[in-house]
This record gives sequence, C-alpha cells and structure tokens, in this order.
Amino acid sequence: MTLGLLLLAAPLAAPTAAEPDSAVLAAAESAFDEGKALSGDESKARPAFARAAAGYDELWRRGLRNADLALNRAAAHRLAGNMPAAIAALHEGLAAARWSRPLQAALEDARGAVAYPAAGDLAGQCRSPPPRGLGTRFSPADAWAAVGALWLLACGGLARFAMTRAPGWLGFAAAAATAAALLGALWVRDQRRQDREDRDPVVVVARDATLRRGNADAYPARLEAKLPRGVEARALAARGGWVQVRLAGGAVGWLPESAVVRP
Amino acid sequence: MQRAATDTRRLPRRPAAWALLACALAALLAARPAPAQDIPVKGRPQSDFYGAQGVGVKVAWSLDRAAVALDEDLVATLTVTNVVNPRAVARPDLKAIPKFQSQFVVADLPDPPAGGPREVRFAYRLRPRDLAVKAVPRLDFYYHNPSAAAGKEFPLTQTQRDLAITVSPPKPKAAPPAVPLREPEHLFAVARGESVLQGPPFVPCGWLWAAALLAGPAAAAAWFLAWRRVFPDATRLAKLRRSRAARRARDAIRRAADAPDPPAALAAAVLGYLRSRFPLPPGAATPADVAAALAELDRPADECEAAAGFLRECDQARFSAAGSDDRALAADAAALVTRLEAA
Repeated sequence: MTLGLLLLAAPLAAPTAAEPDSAVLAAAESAFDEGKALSGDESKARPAFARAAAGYDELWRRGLRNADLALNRAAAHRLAGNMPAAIAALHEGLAAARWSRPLQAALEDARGAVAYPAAGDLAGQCRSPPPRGLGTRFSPADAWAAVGALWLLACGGLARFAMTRAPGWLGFAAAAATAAALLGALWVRDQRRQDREDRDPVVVVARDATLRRGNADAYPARLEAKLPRGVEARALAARGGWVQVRLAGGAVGWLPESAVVRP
Repeated sequence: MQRAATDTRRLPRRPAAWALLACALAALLAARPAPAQDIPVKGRPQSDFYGAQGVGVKVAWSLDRAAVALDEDLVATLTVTNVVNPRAVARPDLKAIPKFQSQFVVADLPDPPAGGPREVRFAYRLRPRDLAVKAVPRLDFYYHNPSAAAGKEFPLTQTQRDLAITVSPPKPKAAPPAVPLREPEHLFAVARGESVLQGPPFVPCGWLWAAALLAGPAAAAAWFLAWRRVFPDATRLAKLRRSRAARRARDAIRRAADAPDPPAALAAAVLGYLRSRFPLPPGAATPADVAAALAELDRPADECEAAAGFLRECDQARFSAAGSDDRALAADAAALVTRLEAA
C-alpha cells in the first residue's frame, strides 16, 4: 500500500520538464539583442548581456557543445564585463573543438584584452602560448578521412601493381602508405601531448590575486606583483580552499579557490 | 596704627558697595564646579553609567531636524548638565544599545562645545534603517550623586520621552550620465539559429579507425578480383609479364622497329628469348638448328615448327628483294613469345 502510494507520488515529485533548448536559446538571443540596443549605456547593457550569457551557459550544460555556442558564450560574458568567464568559455569550446580557428582567434583576442604586466618577473610568467599542434589545424574527422584516403590509395596502388607489374605503382603505393603513416603518427603524438596537458585543467584568475608559496595568506608571495584578472594557469592540486597552479612560464604557487574560475 | 588707618581707607566705605561685593563673590563661588570626588565601586550600575557625577544631573536629546529621508542622516546631540566632572564623562556607545542599533545606523561625530563648565555634549549621526522608525529612543543615564543618602548614590535620569521623527522614503537619485559600452565590434555579432543548437562535433571512435584500416586492403582485393573476373586473359598476360625473359623479349621486339634492320632485331629478340628459356646449344642459330634443339627438349612439334617458321620469315624478310612488313613480323614475334610462355 505504502509502496503504491510512493509509486503514484513519484511522477508528481519529479522535477518538471526542462524548458526546451530552442526556448532557452530564444531567451538568450533576446537578452543579447536587448544588450545591443542598450549599448549606449554600459550600466544597463551589461546586465542584459549577463542574462544572455546565463542562457548560453545553460545550453552548454545541456550538452550542446559546439564552437558557435562557445563563441556566443564568450562574447556574452565579455560584453557583460566578465572577462575570466569569457576566457573559460573559450577554453571549454576549444576542449570540444580544438581545431576551430574562430575559437582560437577569439581566445587570442581575449588575451589581448588582459592587462598582462609589461615588465618584471610576472611578465614572462603570465602569457599563455597560442594553441599549437596538428590537432589545432585538423579535426579528428578530417584526420580520419585523410589517413583513410591515403591508406586506400596505398592499397589501390598495390592492387594495380599486382595487375600490371609496373614498378611505378609500387612506388606510388609506398608513397601513399608513408604519407598515411606519417600523418597518423603525428596525429597520435599530438593527441598524447594534448591528453597530458588536459590532465591539469585550465583555471582563469577571476580577480587580481597574489600567488603564494603555500595554501594560506601567511605564506610569502611567490611573485612580487599580483596576478592580473584573466591570467590562465593549470590547476595541479587543491587543498583547504586553495588551488595549486602552474603559470605558463612554469612558476608554481597557490591561489584562493575564490580567486579562480574553472571552465 | 598709621598703617591700619591707611588700609581702612582703601576699603569701600558705603554699605551698598559691601553688599554688591558679597553678591559677586557668592555668584563666583556658585558658578565654580564643586570638586569631584572618587566614585565608589560599590553600588555602581553595571550598565548605562558613564562616569557622570553631580547633583541633579540632566540629559536631553536635541536633533538638527525632525524629518529625515531613509537614505539621509540626522545629527542627534546628547547634552548632559549639572555634572561636576564633565571631562570624565564617557560617551554613551549607542551602537551597543540594542534599541538604537536596531533602528539606526549609528556613527559618532566629534563632540560639540559645551554650553558651560558643568555641561558636556556628545553628537551622533543617525541613519534610520527603515520607514518604521518613528522616534529617537529614550536614553537611560545613571550618575553618581555624592551627597545622596547611602544606597541612593546612583540615581537614574533619562532623556525626554521618545523624540518623534518622521522618516520618509529615499529621494530618487539623479541617474548618473550614461557611459557607452566600449567593446570590440565583432563581439556584438553572434551565431543564431540551429547552428547554436548542434551537438558536439563528430569525432571518429576506435572502431571507425579500425574500419578505415581494413577498408583499404578490402577495397584493393575486391578491385583485383573484379579485374581478374572481367579480364581473364589479362591474368594470363600478367603471369607472362612476370617472366623476366618474356619481358625482355617484348622490350626488344618493341625496340626492333627503330633498329636499322628490324627483321634481324626481331629474330635476335626471339632467339634470345629461346636461349633464356631453354638450354639451346650455343651453335643453334638457324631455323633448322632451333627446331631440332627444341625437339630434343621434348617441346611440342608445333612449337618447334612455329619457332623455326618465324626465324625463316625473318630471313626471308631480310634477304628478299620485295622488302617486308615489319609490323606484322613484330606481331608474329610477340605472339610466338606469348605462345611459348603460356605453354
């Protein structure tokens, strides 16, 4: 009896159906348009863009992880005045589509707006290098198609050699097989390097913060100047409300978790 | 005696002057604060006692205004009179008194000047916390009366009843001047529609890579089998091409057209092939010798005759006056090689 009542009540207790993706997108686009219309007044436009960013974030959480949505998120966050969240959104987009040139360009553009120090030991530590490797130029589908086509040509060349016994076909097959093997090897090497990098996730400094030698305010500063808002780093560990990070220049230190944004 | 008379002459002689002098002296003594005494610890109140001492001490609030907006401050001045130790009186901490703290945001102001030697003033800035605040609360103030009877040395005095004030809603503030949003123009152009709602991009999984790896050999094998099925003779020809002797003979036959004496070149090509494939004696060069040598090697008679016949044709072409058809002769040579290779 009790079990029956529970079974009857279960559908009522379940959360209501989520808003459709298209409705969330429409609301986000509407808020973005409102922000554009109010761009003459920063204090009114930024909240509208923040609403648009929240809508795009919700779509991203629902699994619609494509480059266009990542670019929209980044633009909305940046227009809302939240540069760290914009950079984090671009990193999330690049994790899904590392080969996307628009995402790479947007990340470089956002980095250009970060107030990196021009001199001092912090200047050489903060700037992240641009994306590199074969995976930043080819999508996995492109690589698969290219390797597959080269391999097909190699096998076809061998078959043709078996038909004609002309040595030229054997050379053609060898060249195609070599190209396929080279491309495949480069791809595998790039994937392994990327996997190693992804083991330490990216974090973005959300507010100017001092990099310390330990996980407390009592520890001395690792670098004299504060890390500016928007600097990217790799998270190595977390302990007691602090996160250990490694800067692009190799310096390792601790930041409060409240001072970083995790993509 | 003379000196005393001189002093007497300096004093006022009229009674009215004496009376005036006495009054002035009395007023001076009355205005002078009585000397402060030590305040006993015994019987001292635990709260609302600020170290004041005197007889008939009074406290009173005065406000700079009776109406205040919610986001504005009013200045309240606490005046303590009839104290003999004005400098020792401590400022009441309104922030520590709940009825003040709950209704006002309290901030201390510098003490205003006192109105007399037996008076002390304290000023506060009070900001109402909400529209429900109706008055500045009464302040309890204990003091020490040294001349009071035992047990009554610390009487309580209070400010007037709650001092009514009117709290109005905050005045609308003038909007700050609008500042345009300065961001790169390309940020304002975003993707719209279905492209934003697409899922993650296609990433080939492991079995797709394996399929691509297997697809090449499978396609090549299928092509080869189809080719063999469609061109069965081509298979035989392909086998022939595997024979190095045949390949060389074909090359020589092809080049014979450019030779100065094509029939001789064709005959040499065929003879070279025969010597490569069969152990002919070194002296076997004439058609009859070749036919006999092949027959000794148990080759079929028609093959022997065909080889000898071709060599004879070449001789005739070389030495006849009518000339020869070199292309036909080359075709015969190729056919002979093919026939011998296929056998």
